[in-house]
Amino acid sequence: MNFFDVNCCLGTPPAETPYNFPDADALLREMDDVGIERAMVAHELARAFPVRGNQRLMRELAGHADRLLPSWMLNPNCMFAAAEAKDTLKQLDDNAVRMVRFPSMPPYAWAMAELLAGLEERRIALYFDLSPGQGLNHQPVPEPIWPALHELAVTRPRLRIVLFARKLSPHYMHVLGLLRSCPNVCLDLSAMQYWRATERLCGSVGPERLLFGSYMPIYHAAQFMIQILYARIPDEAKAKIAFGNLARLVGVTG
Amino acid sequence: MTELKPFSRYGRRALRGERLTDIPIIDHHGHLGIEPGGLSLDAEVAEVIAVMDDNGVSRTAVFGFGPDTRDVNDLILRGVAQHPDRFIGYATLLMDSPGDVMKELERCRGAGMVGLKLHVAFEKEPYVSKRFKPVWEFCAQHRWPVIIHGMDERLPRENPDTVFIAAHGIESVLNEASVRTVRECPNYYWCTSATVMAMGAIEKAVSLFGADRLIFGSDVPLNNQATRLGSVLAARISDDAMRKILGGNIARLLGLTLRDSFPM
Ligand SMILES: [Zn+2]
Repeated sequence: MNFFDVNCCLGTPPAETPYNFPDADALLREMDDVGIERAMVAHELARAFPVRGNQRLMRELAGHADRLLPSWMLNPNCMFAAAEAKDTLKQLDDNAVRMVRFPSMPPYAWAMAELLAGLEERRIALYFDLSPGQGLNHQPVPEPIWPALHELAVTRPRLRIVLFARKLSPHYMHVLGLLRSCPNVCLDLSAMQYWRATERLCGSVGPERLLFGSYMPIYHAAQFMIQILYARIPDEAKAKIAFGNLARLVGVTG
Repeated sequence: MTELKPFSRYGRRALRGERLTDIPIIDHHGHLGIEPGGLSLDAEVAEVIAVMDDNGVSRTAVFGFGPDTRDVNDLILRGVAQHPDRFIGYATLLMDSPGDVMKELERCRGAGMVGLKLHVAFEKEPYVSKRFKPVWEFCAQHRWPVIIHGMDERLPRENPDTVFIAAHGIESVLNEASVRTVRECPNYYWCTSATVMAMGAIEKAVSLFGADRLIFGSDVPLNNQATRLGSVLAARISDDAMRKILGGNIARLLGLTLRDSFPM
């Protein structure tokens, strides 16, 4: 089975972990060993310094476009870090970026209209890490995120949104509701490590809305690969979750 | 940064989607009577067995939780009775009334239970209280492992004849004091049922104190057993170490014979 990882990072993670990937070669070695074909990759440095971090990411990924695609971290709610929307969009264009990541915050559609419209227009997917805090700490998602997220998904129906959080179990109703009512929303399955999560979500919303993500190097990719491989769902559904859905989302063929 | 070692052959096979039905996999941390997905007990039992079949897990140790321990233990006994070859029953207790506690332990032993599960959140008095000594002695006498969520690490030091297993113990792998306790107390084990299994955590633990003191647990059906099994199979350790963690260690503690592999 081919795997396409929606969530991994280069650089030093914000938690003490035995592994990290200083460069693309280190990440590719791990991907080869565990059996991951392609990945959407962000750089930890961009969490605090989006300009330097995203530039560093592009340098690291140079020459690996066949397997590693950039996922830019943006921080549009931080006055210090936020660039003008038009400048951000130009840089995304110049670097042919297919996915951006937001940190945990209510994504009010009215508050970031220009940036969000630009992402929607370009079909750049928005990967949303809803976890408050960083690293290994597991906290529930702040409640105000949910209505804002729903409004965003409804008012921008062509904006592709991918959800992730380290702890989503207390928000099952919200996640399911969003997936059911908004066809432009997908879920990184590594956010749901709970009872029969793969089978139940496949049954409720279909396999097309679920994506394989590893959260490397904080988590080990193999556990989420095995979660998909061992699930009681048809092989075609597994193949979609493991590779096909994300390939379609970011416009990758093969 | 740790150098990458090769996966065990079990990890390799699992990553190809193979179920490992030729080695005995024992999940030492499971529950019944917690109503996953709104299921009643009988449906829950059937579903947990189906999940074990999907994952190639031959046996699961099960315990309950709730305020009325007698009631909870009865529920576990009812579940275990449906699949005595697949479930291993553990008693659960609230320790605040030691008199009744000893009676309940005897009752559970008479009904076939083989270990004790405690959860620190439900107790008013710390486990190291002198009042609880008879409980640890009972468990030592009958070779009952004691699995505790919220382990007080003075327990394995003060009660060297009793086996203690820290539920979610692997989450302490970067805590030097906890690692020292494992090294110094041969009666102290860690369960791998981590809410947060950091990449490399099991490799780190094995490098610090070997593979004899880690026991696979998933927290099924709260958690996805496949993901939790995967988090152990993901470890880059030897085949021998992997077999110990997946079943060998707990089989030794419980005196189970492992000539059988997966029962199906
Ligand atoms: Zn548990």
